[in-house]
Amino acid sequence: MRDNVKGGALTEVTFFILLALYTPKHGYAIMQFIEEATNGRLSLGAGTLYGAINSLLEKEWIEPHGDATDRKKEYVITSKGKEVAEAELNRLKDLTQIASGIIGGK
Amino acid sequence: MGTVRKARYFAGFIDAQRNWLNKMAAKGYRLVKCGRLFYEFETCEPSEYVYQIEYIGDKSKADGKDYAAFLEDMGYKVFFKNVNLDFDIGNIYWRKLADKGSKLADYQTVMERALLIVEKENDGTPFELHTTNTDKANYYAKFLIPYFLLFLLFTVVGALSLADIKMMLMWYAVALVFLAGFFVYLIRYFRDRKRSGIEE
Repeated sequence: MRDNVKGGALTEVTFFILLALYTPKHGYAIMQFIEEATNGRLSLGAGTLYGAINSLLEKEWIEPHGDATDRKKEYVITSKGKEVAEAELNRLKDLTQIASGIIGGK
Repeated sequence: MGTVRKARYFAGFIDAQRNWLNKMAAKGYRLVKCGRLFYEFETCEPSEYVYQIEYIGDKSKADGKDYAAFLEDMGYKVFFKNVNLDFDIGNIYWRKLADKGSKLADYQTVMERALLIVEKENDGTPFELHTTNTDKANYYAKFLIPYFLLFLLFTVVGALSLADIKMMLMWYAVALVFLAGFFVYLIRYFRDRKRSGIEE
């Protein structure tokens, strides 16, 4: 799956990284955040995470945070990234509403 | 603590190299140093560490270093490892690739540091660097061109040594091995691409 910006659908990995970076984190902390948030269901490999971070940096949805001299690089979400994340949240809300109407639930 | 030195050369056979390192680790040998043709180990607890190998021949030297630094930040230990030996054929071939100005390959990455050996403390969970199907497919795709070009290269070398049948057969055998490698990665690539549901 790829992020479909027009349609608003993000991959799960992209969405989780954006969520993780509402507070600045380095790579390892992002990985831990995702593992904890999903109770270990989604465990990201370091190579996959590295690729995802670089592609988000390129899109300017996230940016480096803090001194470049810090040994561990930290990243944080940008305003552009927040817009994308919010749009995804709204898309998911609509989707759950439609689904709940059909399948049932609250 | 004793150190053990072993000579091995795996060329482009990354899985074999990883399996061997993991076997050594299972026996209680931890990698401390590697050169072109040798590996140096220290004794450790059996299965204290696990290894993965990452191909970075498509990255520039700076990008390769950046990736290695990222992996170290993740708490892993990283070694740079050569794929090729410094023999003339490979030398010329890879230089040509680099000269094309594609982002593929500056000379040094490809010749000397095209692989990363990544060591992780064994916590009982599988050690994978690539975990989503899209990312796996992209990773396997990186191998296709190098393997295919190596196959072509050795086919040509074989054809050029027509005068000496034995040599010719030897080069063709090498070419076939690379062709096999090419198909292995092609199959993995299509498998994971299909799983990821990319439509292209």
